[in-house]
Amino acid sequence: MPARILVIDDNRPNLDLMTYLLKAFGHEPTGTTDPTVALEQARARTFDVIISDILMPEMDGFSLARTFKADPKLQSTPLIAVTALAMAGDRERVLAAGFSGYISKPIDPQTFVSQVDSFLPEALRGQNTDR
Amino acid sequence: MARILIVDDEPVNRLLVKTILEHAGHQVAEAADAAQALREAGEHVPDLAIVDLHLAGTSGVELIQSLRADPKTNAVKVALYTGSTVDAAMRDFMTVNRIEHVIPKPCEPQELISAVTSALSS
Repeated sequence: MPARILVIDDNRPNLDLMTYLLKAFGHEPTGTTDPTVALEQARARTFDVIISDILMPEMDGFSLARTFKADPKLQSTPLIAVTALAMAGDRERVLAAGFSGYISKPIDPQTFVSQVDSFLPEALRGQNTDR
Repeated sequence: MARILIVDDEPVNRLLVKTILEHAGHQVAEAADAAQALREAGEHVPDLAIVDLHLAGTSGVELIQSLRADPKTNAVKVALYTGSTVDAAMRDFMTVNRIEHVIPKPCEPQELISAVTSALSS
């Protein structure tokens, strides 16, 4: 069964790459470059997992995570950060903000979907339907 | 399966195009600038070069002129990869340099694959 996945990244090629890969492995991604739109979509529909960039101009991933985690409807949805942050303490900051885990940027097309799948129950994990 | 060269100075743009076209069964080489593209095209002549017009340093236009000036790469098919509108001057440039395809940036994966298929068969 495909997972419904919300993907947020203000960098369009990055967003397109993530949604392309998730779709290629049988998932149902919804992508947006706008964190405010993402919040509206997350409140209007149910997602199995939410993937978010951290460094975004309008609302950074930390604020977004705090907003998600303060919302009773959204607080149980796993939230994954996709980030190039590589400083000491970054991992702790990401987890403290409410993220369940993170994937390093630039993403690796070979492993990205399996990294996302590790946050999903087995029945929702992706399969390569592309070839 | 075709040999395709993607020339774009933005790494994630190259990664996106490479991932989609490799999944579609093509062999894809990358270049971040014109010098790298000319080196790569000279060593492994591609069937199609997808060229971002706004490269840092030597522009995509100059790169295409260099490809056309070299007998080894003169016949390589070229598609432009650009977020800009194609104006009259660019249309003239395309005619002179035998370029029939413009891949819009951004574009949907299926649109990219269709444009590449069409460019390869032209």
